Amino acid sequence: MKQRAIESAVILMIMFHFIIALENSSFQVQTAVETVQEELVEKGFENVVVRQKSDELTIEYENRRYRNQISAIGVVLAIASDKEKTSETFHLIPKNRDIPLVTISTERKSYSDFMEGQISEETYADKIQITHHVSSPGEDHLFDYYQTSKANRSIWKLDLLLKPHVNMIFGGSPDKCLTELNLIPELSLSPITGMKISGMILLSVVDEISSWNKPVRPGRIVINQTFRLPQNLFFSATAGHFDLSNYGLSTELVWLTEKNLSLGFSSAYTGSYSYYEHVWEHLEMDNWTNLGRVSYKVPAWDFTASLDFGQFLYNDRGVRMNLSRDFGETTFGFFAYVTDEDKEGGFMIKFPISPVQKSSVGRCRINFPDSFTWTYRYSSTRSAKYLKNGNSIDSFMKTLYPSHIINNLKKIKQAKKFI
Amino acid sequence: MSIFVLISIFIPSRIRAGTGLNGIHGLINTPGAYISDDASWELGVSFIPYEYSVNQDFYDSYYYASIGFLPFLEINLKVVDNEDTTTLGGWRDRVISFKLQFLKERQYLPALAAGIHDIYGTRLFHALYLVGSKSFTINPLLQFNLHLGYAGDRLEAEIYKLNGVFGGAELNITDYTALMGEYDSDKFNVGLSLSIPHLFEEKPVMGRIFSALSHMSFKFDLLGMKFPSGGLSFTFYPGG
Repeated sequence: MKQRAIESAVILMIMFHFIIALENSSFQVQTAVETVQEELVEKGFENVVVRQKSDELTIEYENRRYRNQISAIGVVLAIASDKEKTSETFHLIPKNRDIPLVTISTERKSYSDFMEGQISEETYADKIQITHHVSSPGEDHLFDYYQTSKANRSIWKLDLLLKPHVNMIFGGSPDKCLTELNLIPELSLSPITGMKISGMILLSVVDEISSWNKPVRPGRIVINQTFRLPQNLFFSATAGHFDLSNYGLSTELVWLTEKNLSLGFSSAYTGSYSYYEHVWEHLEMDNWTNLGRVSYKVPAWDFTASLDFGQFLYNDRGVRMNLSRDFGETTFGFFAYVTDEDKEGGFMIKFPISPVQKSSVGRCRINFPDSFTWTYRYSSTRSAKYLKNGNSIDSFMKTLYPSHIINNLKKIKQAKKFI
Repeated sequence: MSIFVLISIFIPSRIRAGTGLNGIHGLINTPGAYISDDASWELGVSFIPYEYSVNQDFYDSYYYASIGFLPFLEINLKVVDNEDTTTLGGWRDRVISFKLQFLKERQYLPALAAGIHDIYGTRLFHALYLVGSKSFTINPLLQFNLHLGYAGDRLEAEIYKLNGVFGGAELNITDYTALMGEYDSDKFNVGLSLSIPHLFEEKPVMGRIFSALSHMSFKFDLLGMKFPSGGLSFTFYPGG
């Protein structure tokens, strides 16, 4: 009897210590996950959620701190691998306006080997997995997971961008080059997930082209809501005053496949407006712009070919081909179009202008846009023009396409300097 | 000469090829079948004497950008500035050109390319051509390149910069010097191209200065074997 009591007590003590050990280990896991989240928030990342499931660590984040999105991936991986030692696989989900864009998955060992120079960029490109598909924690309900609450939310934070704008016309005599230079402050904020409200004014610095003859005039004032739908579909709707004195409603639907191909359709119903002597005048909305788009990215060269077809902004119908290539953060492309009114082309160039590391987004931040884009058309015709609403899904993706990430993995290694 | 030495002449090592006055890879006025390094950008300026300018009264200045857009496609954007002070302050012309290399050089086969200059607009600098190039490595310091092509007048243009047979040769002495001679379907031209080696790599200040200078190249040419011309350019890789 006495021996049975002792045996029972020993078994109870063993069970008690086992339960205590279990609780201690899960507490340590929670602490490491929360440490990763704290470090990311300190680095300026927003909408940060960190999730642990067996030996996989998933990090959702939004980057408005680092100019290059792949550098941001490098910073997140560096922090995750340093502060959380038990996970063997990392899944990164970068977001925009709290909407997930893409999933980047890497084994800890592959990442470490790449950072230490034991494997080349080409080899690491074969090991890292990048997909437009984003899984939610509930999808694999067989495993338990631990998830932090969302930290450093991006909603209701004001961002003031100071954008330069240049327009040039080369021609014959007497003026060989006519120039228009504007400074455009743009204020924006995101009140709910996927929404953006923005407004801008144009401050004229040099104006040899337009007939406005006003130092200050209103620019684009819009409200946009973007949704991520199942099957890698993105839908965007924008209303307000657009560029080129158009107002109305525009929508865009894009399907991003996993084969570097995307299909899209955009439709807009607009009218013209004018602003003179503090008076707005809106003409009747009677203009439809309907365009289909097929786009293909060639990963080997970070090259994109796209074809737009349908009815353009000024009711001309035809096709427009765009070919562009990303050289790191610089993009060069050219386009050609054939419509029922004209056939011509031009080129575009985009290069970075903001610092590589910007200030964190607090209640209000002033900064420069990440890049400056200049499009040059051979002549100043109105053919094959797009409606510019400032919220295209392509810009919403923030260059986070698998082909672009794969071609710029060296940025992950170079991100060490930000830690 | 032993058979092995003879064969080794045909084996292309690194092919050294520079750009002409218009920024297109080739000799002086004629293109070759080699194209810009993939993902390279070259910005340059050239001076054309009035004897060979568009209006032959005032000199032309070329401001160009040549981009290795794809491994087989070179794009050239050029603005031509003519300082004709008699006609309301001069004029400017915009030129866009493409060159597509459809065959890379092999041991016994030349590189082949097709190109079009001044594809649209007034076509004051137009050319539509096929060209082949072959390199011969004589020794590690000397490389000899031959270029031969034909340009047609299939598209209507104001001025054909190349029309008929054209070709030339260049002798590359190390990576930094090239002597060139060509026939551009109108006249014979000779030229010299120089670039600066990256010296003093271990020195912090001088090393950086020479690192920047090593991206530049200088051209000195005699058009029609009489009239001096030249230019300078800067090559870089924006993607790193």
